Amino acid sequence: MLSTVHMTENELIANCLQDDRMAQKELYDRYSRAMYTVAYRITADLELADDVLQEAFLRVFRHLAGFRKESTLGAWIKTIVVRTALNKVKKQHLTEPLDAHPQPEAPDWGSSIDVDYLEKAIQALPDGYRSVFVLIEVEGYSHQEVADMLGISVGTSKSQLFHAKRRLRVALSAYRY
Amino acid sequence: MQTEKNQESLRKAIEQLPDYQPKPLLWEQISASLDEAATSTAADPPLPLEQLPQYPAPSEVWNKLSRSLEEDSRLRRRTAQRMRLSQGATWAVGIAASALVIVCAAIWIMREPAPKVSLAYSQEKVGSFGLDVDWNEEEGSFEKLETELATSNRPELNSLRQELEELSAAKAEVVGMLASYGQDPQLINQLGDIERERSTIYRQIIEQI
Repeated sequence: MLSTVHMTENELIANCLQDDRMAQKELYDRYSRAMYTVAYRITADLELADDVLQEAFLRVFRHLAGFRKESTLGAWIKTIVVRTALNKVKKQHLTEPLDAHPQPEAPDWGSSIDVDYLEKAIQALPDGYRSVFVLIEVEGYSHQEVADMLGISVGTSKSQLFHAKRRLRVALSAYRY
Repeated sequence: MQTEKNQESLRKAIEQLPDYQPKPLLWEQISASLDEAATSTAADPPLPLEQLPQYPAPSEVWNKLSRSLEEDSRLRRRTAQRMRLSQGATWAVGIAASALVIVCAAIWIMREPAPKVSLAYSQEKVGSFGLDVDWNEEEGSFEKLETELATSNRPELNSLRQELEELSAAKAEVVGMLASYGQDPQLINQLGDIERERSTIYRQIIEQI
């Protein structure tokens, strides 16, 4: 029997569809770290991220037969994780009231950013700002994709991101001192 | 919106953000959930539905169904009949309303003052009755009878003969008046009466002769 470690993605999918637990574990191992990170970045809560990952992977295995290979398997799983995470974060918090500065200045990130500070600043963002920032700037989704996932307009996505960055900049400045 | 400054710094920092490793226990939980789902599925083997036996319906079922269908049919007929009656009633109401309108119109018309009816009449004298009676047509018979009575000398006929002579004299007098005053109706009537009496006497005389 072929070791699951050496299986191609297609073989892995085929075996997973046969309820091969070894293959399922291998698929989980391959993607769990990246997906857990995404889940944690969106939820900013490790316990919530655990729930997201468990729930998301159960969905992955239950709906694997519906994977049409229109994207990579990783992208497909990430979409499921992101949606699961966004469902965990209360929907009413996914868009934040915009900061009441009529003409907010664009942030200046300076010559370098401390990664730990950045991580803390991201976790400190309100849910709406954090979700948009993580999905666009960290995970690389487009505004249109984020708008579709969050059920908001592209314009709202853009303004949420802008204000998220402003908040981050302010937070990073505070950490510096 | 204004352009961000030093975006590259943010880019570099994001690339260096740490990854996070889920707890090893998490897979155990996922695996347990998958086992649970598999057990649940195994506990419910596919049902051989196509092999299940078939059962003929008891005859009472059709009997009840038939009765229900008959009841439905009867109900539909009754409804249709009611609809027809309802339509008839509508017509009757229409006719009654029309009749009422006509009666009211008639009453209203009759309430109007009656038209004045004037009766026109005139008196006209009859110029002629068209009776160009020849009063002397039978006169020859009477003269012959009088002559015969005179020659026979029968006393039982004298009174009749005397009456006949008097009536003949009266006739001659009325005829003379008609000639003098024209065709007067009263004279003509009188002349008619005289002639009837003369005829009666004439018949009596003939019978006795």
